Amino acid sequence: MVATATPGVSPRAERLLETTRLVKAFGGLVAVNKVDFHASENEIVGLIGPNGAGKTTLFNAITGVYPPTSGSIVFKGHAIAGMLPSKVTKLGIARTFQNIRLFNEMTALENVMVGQHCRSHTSMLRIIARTPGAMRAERAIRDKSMALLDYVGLGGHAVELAKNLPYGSQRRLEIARALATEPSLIFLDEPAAGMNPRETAALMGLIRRIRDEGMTIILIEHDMKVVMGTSDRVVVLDHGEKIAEGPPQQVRSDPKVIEAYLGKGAA
Amino acid sequence: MARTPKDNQTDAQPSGSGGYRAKLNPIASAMTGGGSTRSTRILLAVLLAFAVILPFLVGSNRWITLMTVVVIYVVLASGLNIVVGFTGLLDLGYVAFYAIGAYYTAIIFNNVLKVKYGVDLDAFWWLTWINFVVGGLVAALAGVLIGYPTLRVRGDYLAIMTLGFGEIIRILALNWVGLTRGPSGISGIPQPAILGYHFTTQKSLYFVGLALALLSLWAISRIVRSRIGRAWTAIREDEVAAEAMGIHTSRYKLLSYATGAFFAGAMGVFFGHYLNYISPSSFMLMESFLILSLVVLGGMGNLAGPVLGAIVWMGLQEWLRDVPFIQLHPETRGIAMGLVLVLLMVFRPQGLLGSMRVKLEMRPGSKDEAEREREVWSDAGS
Amino acid sequence: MSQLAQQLVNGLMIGCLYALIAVGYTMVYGIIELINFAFGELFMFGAFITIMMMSPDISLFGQTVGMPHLNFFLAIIIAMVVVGIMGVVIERLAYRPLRNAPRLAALISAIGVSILLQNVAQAIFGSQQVPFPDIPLFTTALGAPKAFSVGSVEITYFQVFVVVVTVTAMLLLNLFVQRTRMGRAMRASAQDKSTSALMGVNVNKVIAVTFLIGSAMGALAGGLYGGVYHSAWPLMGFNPGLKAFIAAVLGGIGNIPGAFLGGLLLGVIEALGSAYLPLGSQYRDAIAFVILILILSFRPSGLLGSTVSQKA
Repeated sequence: MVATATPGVSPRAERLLETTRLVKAFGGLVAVNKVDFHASENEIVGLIGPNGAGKTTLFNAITGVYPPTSGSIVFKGHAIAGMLPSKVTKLGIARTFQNIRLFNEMTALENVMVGQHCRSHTSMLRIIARTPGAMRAERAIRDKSMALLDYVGLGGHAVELAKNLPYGSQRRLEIARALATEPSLIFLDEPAAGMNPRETAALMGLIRRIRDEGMTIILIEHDMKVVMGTSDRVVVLDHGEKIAEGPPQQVRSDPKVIEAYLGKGAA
Repeated sequence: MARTPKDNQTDAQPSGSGGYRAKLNPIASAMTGGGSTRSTRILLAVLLAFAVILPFLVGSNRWITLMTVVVIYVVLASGLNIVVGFTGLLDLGYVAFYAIGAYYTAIIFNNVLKVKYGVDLDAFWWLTWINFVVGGLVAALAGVLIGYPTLRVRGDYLAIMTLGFGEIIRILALNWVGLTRGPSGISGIPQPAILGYHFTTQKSLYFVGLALALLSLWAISRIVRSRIGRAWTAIREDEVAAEAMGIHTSRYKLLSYATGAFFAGAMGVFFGHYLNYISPSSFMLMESFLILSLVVLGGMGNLAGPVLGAIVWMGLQEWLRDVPFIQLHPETRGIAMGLVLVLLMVFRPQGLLGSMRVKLEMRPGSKDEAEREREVWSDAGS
Repeated sequence: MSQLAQQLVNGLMIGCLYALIAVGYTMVYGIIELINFAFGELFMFGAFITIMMMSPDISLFGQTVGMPHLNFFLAIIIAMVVVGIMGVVIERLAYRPLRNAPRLAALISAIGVSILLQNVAQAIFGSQQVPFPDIPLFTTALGAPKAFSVGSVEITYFQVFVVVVTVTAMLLLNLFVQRTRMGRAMRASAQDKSTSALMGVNVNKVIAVTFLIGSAMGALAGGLYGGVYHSAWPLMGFNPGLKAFIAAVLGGIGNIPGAFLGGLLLGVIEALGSAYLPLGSQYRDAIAFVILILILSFRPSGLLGSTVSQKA
């Protein structure tokens, strides 16, 4: 690897996702202010910052929920700023939501199968005719989805309605559903929120396992144990701006970061 | 990675063709349907037998007419259910698609063939059958056109917009006299025929309608139990999440409108050939509300609900038509419908069949396949 | 030129009626985000009750029943009170239980109420048109409406009355909403229901008052409509109701001056359109729907509404 000025930051050529001077403003409120953010292959990037720092806004702008006000976003060589979320997903970015957004009246298995939607293309006529090709594609979807449920530990709950699952299982289901879209990069928005220590430890294991499968993970979390324990690199936002970036240990002792969280005079 | 059956205490699958092994592995029995599928199949068979045999048992044509009406509304309600129940889009202008199908075939036969070309309509008997599909497709196209402006609009506004479109179509039918003959309507639509055999009796027409309905329900069932049905349901449940999971929500919403419209259009064609005459008064706004009521009554979002709603309501209505009080006071029907809608929403919004849900997966085609599947799953678990 | 002015006058007047109903829609939607389909029927009942109070007798359920034979002004006020109460009762029974239900359910319930009221009215009053009694103050000895001319444009006294009443009602309503405690509570609830409740606002009462006022305005419009067109019939409310909602959207839903503006605009555009567009008079009803589609496609927040960008 080529030596760069900032340790832990990969050279530009290897970057999977890169935003350049990304701005997102809502009327007068600038939620994301000229943020340069990147992620490389096989990396876990922690994105932290006090509430209202713009972390979820950054997620939303990259995944296409709303178009950025200015700046560029490049993923796998494609310029994706302003692209429809479904198109961004097809390119290989998946996400979970801060407030769980499952398909409540569908079963856990069906939820995950929805994730596989963009990876198969059976036409309506073939679906009506139930051609062997269509049945094969459906079986493949079901098998893969079932495997993903097992992967996150929900294999036994396949036929339960999503709304009836306990909270921790719902979070894991969202991750399984996101994985079903076969992403190269996955955004996790506060996946550990509301979890007890045992669940959190299991989650951390799951995150590492996902990275080991070859995916890149960008993680918003307030639980510092999770962030510091899994991230290869941490990026800190405050008031929409990037104020620090680097390996976890370095960032946690950065005076600017401490000040952002605890106020002046605490460093 | 093996699933241990003892972890799964939640299932209460009835026993049946699922068998001992399937009971051990609830996932397998759920996926293949297990016992519940058999009882559903029996019910469907009984209903079908009823539908086929009854016309031969009853004496008067009135009952056969009633059954034909029920059959039409079964399809209309099922078609609207795709849009409202599965995709969650409140379409209040659905009757427009019914009208488009009816007017399409009427215009083709009457205006074009008879009037413009002076052709003997008998020679074109085959066109009727083709028109079921073509009329449906024309209506589907209208569905896309009407759906497009509603894509960016929120639920309640969407409802009013679709209502507006429905009314615009009706106003067009009423006023574009050159095309639609305005309030006088179009007559002389020929009855269906095959190679010289004319479907002229009520009974024969009923069976044409029944065949269409069975075909439509079969197609709808297959479409819904697939990735398309999953996409629609996902949009209904959470549009933002659906889009984030790779579903192009705009395209699937339009597909939903188009599919629902197709079946309405097809039934519109049948309606035209059944009555031999259509006029704008058959396609008023109240029809859209009526069809919506059928869907709501039976239960939105599952396949049997609209069927049940149509049978119960239209059956009841036609049956009570001769009661003197109701003849003297036609508004009782409207009062009942209004009350039913409000009471249902307040006390039982899921409708009569609400708790039933459709498994949004393609079922295995044959019984052998189902057996093989069960063995695969239960082997994995043991 | 004079035809244009005449159309403007007519359009303005019908626009006032739309505005009165639109205000009800916009207030209710602003607080509970429900399209109260039933406002059209409340408008209709307003007309009928006004007729009832003005007549010496009337046919109810097929039987002739004696009536107070009051003057127009008293009659319309009674109609406003009665229909206002009707609105409150409807909200309590058909909408309040669905306050936390998915919006689809409340919408369907509203449709049900609308259908119910239409048919109840048919049961009570019959399905035929019922004539609206002449108002002595506005009618000449020969039975024609008293009118005056400005150039070649004829304006009836009653039309002027309609405009005056509408403007007065709007001003009073605006005063109420801006200056009174209840008005403040209404504005707060429209902004944020739950926070208002936490601040001690009795949201249920606010909603009841909103329905009371909205329904009363609708009834006022109904009585005035009867006076202009000299008749009422059970299905008369559906069309104006729909158009009034479109007017509310045009002006900016949730915005009371917007509803007023929207109503006037819609009335004028309709009048001009039906007079000057080819086949305009036949497609008159379609004009409102076309306006709706245009406005929702290009400026969904309406003319006076503010474009608020949403933070996801």
